[in-house]
Amino acid sequence: MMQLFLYDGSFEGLMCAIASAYRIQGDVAIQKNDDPAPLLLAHVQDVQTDSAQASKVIEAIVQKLGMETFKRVSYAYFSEIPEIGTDILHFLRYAFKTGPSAVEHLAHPAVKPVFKASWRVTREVHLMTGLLRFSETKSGIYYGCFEPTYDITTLLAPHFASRLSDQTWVLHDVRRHLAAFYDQKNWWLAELEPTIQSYSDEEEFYRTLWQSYFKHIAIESRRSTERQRQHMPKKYWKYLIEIKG
Amino acid sequence: MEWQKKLEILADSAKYDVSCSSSGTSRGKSQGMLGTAAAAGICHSWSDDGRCISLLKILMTNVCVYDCAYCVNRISSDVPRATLSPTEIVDLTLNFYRRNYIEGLFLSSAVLVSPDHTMERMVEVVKRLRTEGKFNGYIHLKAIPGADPRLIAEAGRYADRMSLNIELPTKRSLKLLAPEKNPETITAPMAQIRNTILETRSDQNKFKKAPSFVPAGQTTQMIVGATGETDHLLLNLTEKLYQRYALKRVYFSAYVPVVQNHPVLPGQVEHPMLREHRLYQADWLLRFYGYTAGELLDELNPQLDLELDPKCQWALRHPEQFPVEINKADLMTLLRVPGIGPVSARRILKSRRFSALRPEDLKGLGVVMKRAKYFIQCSGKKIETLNFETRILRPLLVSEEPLKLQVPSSQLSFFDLNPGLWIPPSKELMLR
Repeated sequence: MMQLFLYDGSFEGLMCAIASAYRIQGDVAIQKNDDPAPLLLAHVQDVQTDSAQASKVIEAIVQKLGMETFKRVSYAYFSEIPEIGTDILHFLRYAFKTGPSAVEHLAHPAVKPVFKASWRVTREVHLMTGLLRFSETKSGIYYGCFEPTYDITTLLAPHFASRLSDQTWVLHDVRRHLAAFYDQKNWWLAELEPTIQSYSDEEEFYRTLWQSYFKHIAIESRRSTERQRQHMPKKYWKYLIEIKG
Repeated sequence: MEWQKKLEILADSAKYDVSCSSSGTSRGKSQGMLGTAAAAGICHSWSDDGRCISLLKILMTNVCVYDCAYCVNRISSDVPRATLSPTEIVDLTLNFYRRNYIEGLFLSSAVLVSPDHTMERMVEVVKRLRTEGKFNGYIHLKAIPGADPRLIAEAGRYADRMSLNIELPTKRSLKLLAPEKNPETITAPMAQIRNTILETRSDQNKFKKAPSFVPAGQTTQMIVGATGETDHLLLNLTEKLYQRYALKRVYFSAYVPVVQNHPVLPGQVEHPMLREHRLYQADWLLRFYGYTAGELLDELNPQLDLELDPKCQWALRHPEQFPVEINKADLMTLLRVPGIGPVSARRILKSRRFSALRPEDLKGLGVVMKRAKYFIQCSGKKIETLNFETRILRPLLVSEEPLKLQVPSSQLSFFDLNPGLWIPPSKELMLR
């Protein structure tokens, strides 16, 4: 019978689930405890999250397989793909057998799914470093909201902490009710319900300027909405100031 | 005049400049300063023509004393005129940057009063942006041909990238269409910038705190299709510019007819975007694939084939080079296979170390098989058993790529700089 390990959804939880499932022979799967259960009959085990044990797993990955492998695994985790826990398990089993170069065996069936998922997340993070828009609120805080496909707030916050280091900002994933807060020194994550902001008097002024800049920088005779959408998929338009979604 | 109107006029005048790249400098955060620079550059939006918007690209003024026939801002042209003050440009840049609309500023200008007067004001803008505005983001500054070398030297201390546009590729065309400019006013500052970049680099090796100078290098732009130059001439010139002036990039700008009934300028241009696109592809072959201009075109074949990308054109002329053995060939040989790029070539080198690659593995590594299959074999096994005959192969390659345009990305892709990462299937688009 298949052995199914359920974890609490946190990265630490996943690391503990991997530790528990690592040496099990035969069919094994790892899932978040709130994802729908598989139809197959399975022997289910709830994994307790223990940060000391999670640290040990992370340390082993970083030391034996290198930062690159760890980065891939963590980016893949943020994809929230339901099977990703099991994929990561298979990948790590293969990698610990093969060594640090395993992450480069892109055509290998144990590597491919993790690599693909981490690539998708990386791409969205890179795209959002450009597409995210901040607006200045009445209280002088720059507020930026978005609805990313993957859970990338954690991965995006360091970019803005370094780039907009002298302003106070909030990065809000409206769909996941999650936000990164930055106070000009540190950033941290916290839950945040969707909110309505009131913006500073200047905000409207700069928005209008940006909208007219956007309109006038295009060469009218070469209009190509197809090309525009290819780079900037419509699902991201909702929060763009220059274009109506 | 209100800001919005000015911004509209000056964005309109700047939009024919192709470059919007913000790549080439990597700069982390600096205490008390606003902004960073990402080596691969970041696109912040895509305008209605599908081009990436990375920088706030504007002219300082479109009031011009020159009368260059191809230019929308020539003195004799009847367009609305505007000038933004240094304070206004600094304010706009900072406020757009804080809202994450842009990577930085790309400032160009028409010639107001004189080259020196114009350049002085442009230097004032970037100096104030860096010192008063404490701006640490990206700045691309156009140098005005004919400006005092001292002004160019000062500008380079604040800018990440500088550029001088050649615009017209021959002396003859320049004389005909831009009689007030001469080639030396363009090449002299180009040489000055190249020399200062080299000196700065050697200073920086000696003293850690040596001031920087145009760290992202210099670029130029040529108009394509306004005058009769062949692709052969353009590519040779491009190659010379890379060699002689160590340019980072040569941009091509398909001529947009802005003047009606001109004795020299064409009123209409055939396939302007496609020609521009083929030139960009050839330019990539020069910069990243180890080709020389002489290999791609010669006097007998002076124009790029619009139906076929330049690498396929080369491959079809060189059947003796194929098929290439995927499991043995070195990097430079792999790069010459149509359908294989720098990213997929490096992945092939990495992956084949652990086991021999089979044809079905290649797609997953980013190889475009519909082109590559005719030119490769895996462990001695051919994929397409077609005889390598140009007559047979050419229509196959053409029909499988029916005038598709790869977007001429002005940005070095993020994925080019991170070769370990997966690359998206080529962003191909129908031209029509």
